[in-house]
Amino acid sequence: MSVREGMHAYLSDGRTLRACLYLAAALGLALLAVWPRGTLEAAVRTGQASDTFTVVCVCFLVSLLYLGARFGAEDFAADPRVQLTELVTLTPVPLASLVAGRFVFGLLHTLVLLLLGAPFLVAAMAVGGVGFPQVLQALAIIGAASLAARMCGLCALALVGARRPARDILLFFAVTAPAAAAFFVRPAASSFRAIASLARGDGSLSLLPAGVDLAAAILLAACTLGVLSGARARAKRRAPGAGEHE
Amino acid sequence: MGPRRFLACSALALFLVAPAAPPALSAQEKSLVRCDALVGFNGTAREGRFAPVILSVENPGARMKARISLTVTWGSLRGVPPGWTITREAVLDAGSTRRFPFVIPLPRDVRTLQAAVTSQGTEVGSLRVELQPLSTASRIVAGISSDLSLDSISALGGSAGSLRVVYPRVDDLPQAWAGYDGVDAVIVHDTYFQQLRADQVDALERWVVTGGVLVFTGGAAALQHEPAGFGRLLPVRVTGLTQRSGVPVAVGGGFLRRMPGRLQLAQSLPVQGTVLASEGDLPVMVRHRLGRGSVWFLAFDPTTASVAAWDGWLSMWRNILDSDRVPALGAADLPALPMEDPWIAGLFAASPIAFPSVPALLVFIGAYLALLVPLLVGGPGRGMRARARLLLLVVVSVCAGLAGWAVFNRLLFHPGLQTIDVARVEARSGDGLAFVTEKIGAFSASARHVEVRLGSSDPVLEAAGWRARPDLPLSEPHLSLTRAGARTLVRGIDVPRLAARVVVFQDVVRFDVSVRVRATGSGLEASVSNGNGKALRGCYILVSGRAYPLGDVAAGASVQRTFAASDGLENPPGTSARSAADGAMFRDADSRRAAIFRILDEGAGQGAGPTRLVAWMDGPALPISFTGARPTGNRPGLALVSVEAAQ
Repeated sequence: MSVREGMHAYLSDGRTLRACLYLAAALGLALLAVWPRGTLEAAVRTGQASDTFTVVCVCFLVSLLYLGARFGAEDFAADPRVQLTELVTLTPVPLASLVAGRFVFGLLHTLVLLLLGAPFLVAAMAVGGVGFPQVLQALAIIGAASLAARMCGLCALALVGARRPARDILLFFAVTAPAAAAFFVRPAASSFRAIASLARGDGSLSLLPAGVDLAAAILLAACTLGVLSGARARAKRRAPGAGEHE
Repeated sequence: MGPRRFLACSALALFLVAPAAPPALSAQEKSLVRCDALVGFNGTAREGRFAPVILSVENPGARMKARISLTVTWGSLRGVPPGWTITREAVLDAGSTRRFPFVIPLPRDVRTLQAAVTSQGTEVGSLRVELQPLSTASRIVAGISSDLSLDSISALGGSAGSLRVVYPRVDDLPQAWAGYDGVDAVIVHDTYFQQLRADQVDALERWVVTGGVLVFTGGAAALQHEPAGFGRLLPVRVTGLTQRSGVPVAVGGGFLRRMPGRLQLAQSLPVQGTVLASEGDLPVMVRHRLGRGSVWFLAFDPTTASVAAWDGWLSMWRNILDSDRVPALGAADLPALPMEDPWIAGLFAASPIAFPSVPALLVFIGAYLALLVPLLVGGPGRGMRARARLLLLVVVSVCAGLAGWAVFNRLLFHPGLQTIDVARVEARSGDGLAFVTEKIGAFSASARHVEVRLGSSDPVLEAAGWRARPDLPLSEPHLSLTRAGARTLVRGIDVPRLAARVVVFQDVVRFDVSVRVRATGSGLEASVSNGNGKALRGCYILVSGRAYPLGDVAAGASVQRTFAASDGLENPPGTSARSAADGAMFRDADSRRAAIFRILDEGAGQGAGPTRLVAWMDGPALPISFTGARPTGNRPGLALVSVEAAQ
């Protein structure tokens, strides 16, 4: 994917841009919904600390997991299956550069999405009881999880194609099952648990969940490369020399 | 030699040589310095009070710079137990023995005292003391005497609980007033011609200001008091000795009884206080009230056989030792939740700190989305190039982030530590000293570690425990106090997220206010002189349940006013039916002062008490600062001053 293609795909397409706007609006609504309305005295009296920051972070994470999976599966493209299939079977474009390009532009687009949501997290800092280190940690965790979901979507697209609802079901379980497993089995690697613990202020700033998600994203990209290589090989067997003609 | 044979020989050699090898050094033998600790008074300390500790460190080796720490723990065995760790730096000269005084809290479930001396990061000496056997529930009277002549006072315990008389050496007397916290009274008989250091006398004086009872006995030993350094505490000036028969003695309730037999009396001239009993112009019993406590002088020696056998002896001592001193340890109540503490609750109610409003948030979200919509609605048809769109998105997001940080983290709400403090300053006119109890509530929107800097080398402080929720167990802090010169740094008062901590400080400070009130035929004349650096605001003279307004008295100023009886407000604060007068009392004051007055004066019932001046003083009363706390704008400090008028 060239720079021009990437910019066009993520910053000129109307559906993609509206998705960003919906994301910002959803985060704004979430912040408004959980903004502390009682007095400080009541909060201290009941010992019930405001969960504003945690709730906004979780909303951000869930939204970006959803959007990341859909962006990865190229749901917002006009005819994603045709594009990917054509690229793999009809062109000699190196598959590694194809997957790497989507990975890099997915990473850059995730950064843009994080930047869009960051003002809400910053606004929730004080009432949520966190500081800048926690905000940066939350953005890193959310970004890595979103990138992993995006690669998951790409892998599902390569595996199943645009067949719905088979791809959506596969994608749903592929995103939620690891998250649930980490939440219950390996809490230290769970993005949700890490975000929930940020506001507790126990002093431990761990980026383990972000690292795990980034590794998962790279692994999924490698899997996608393998799947696409298989698809190209099958296409070559069916129509020898197709790629060379191009 | 084959390998098997070699191994067998080696094992045999090891077996034979091993018993001759030197054993591993024990911890005590590894120590380069020797430590010894004297806890309480001669090894006796009252539980539930502060207690003095003298740590003796003997350094037989070379000169070294050392860090000396004392740790006392109590309560739970799990995790870091609540307690205190006091640390100070010292230089241990070669071949010297130095004594380091400390004051430690001794709660009822206290366990151990651990002393450690480290030099260059290596522990060179340590000591562990079990505190349970040393602490007692009995009342304690400290007798400064060269012989055990005051033991008969233990009969005063009676049904109210046992009383023990301890005899500390003059050298071992505390150098901080809190060291006397566990003592009901100090009776000075004789010092065996030893002289007290100035800091020891100062500590004794300050302890009396907090409510202690100090008794100087007479007879021949009274001639030692002034040379021993007690001069400025004595209510009389001892001039010699004399013999008298049937001397009168005050036994309480305003009654005097004559003591049979001939006694040797200290001849003296009254310097301060009230002569309660005299034989002609010879003072027999003198009481000088100092702060909340009192200093007594008995012209006779109560340890003589004839006095001890007198049937009024018990009544006399009960009259003298009757004290309303409130112990320093335990001043911080342990409410189930910080907001149940009336001081904190009242201050929060009047605090200007609040969450940012929802309309402010709506404006922020609306403005941000309004800027995003033109950038994100519409595709290439809108004519905006992708790079320009990206640049604008970045600029808008960064600006919105900065605005959100400035508005919601600085202007409207601050995540940093906020402190609110209230102090009660109690003094008597002309004493020059005041007993200050300062209660500080610290809270923060985010969990944070707090450091407190005190301008005192022997702080008396207590941090109340806290519960995250009512159903969770109480968390008590482990305080770390580092002494450096006349300053102390306190760590360990951690403030959980959106929670409050209560810390209580007590100290005796210089306070120069004199109040004179004289009744006239038609009213009263009052004069107030404020020799402090801070103005006294909203002053009132409280006389017999009526309050006479004086207004403000500036720093260094004097005010003199004459009042008619009708000028007094009825039912002023401090009386049971004061609500009617609250409006008038605080008509020139803000609601915060009124709220705090109600809290501080709750149940005081002092309306008909002694004539006194009641006033307000801004700012913290004690030199205390919190790291990370916002400047005075968000540190509402207010001290209620109560000065008993001169008699």
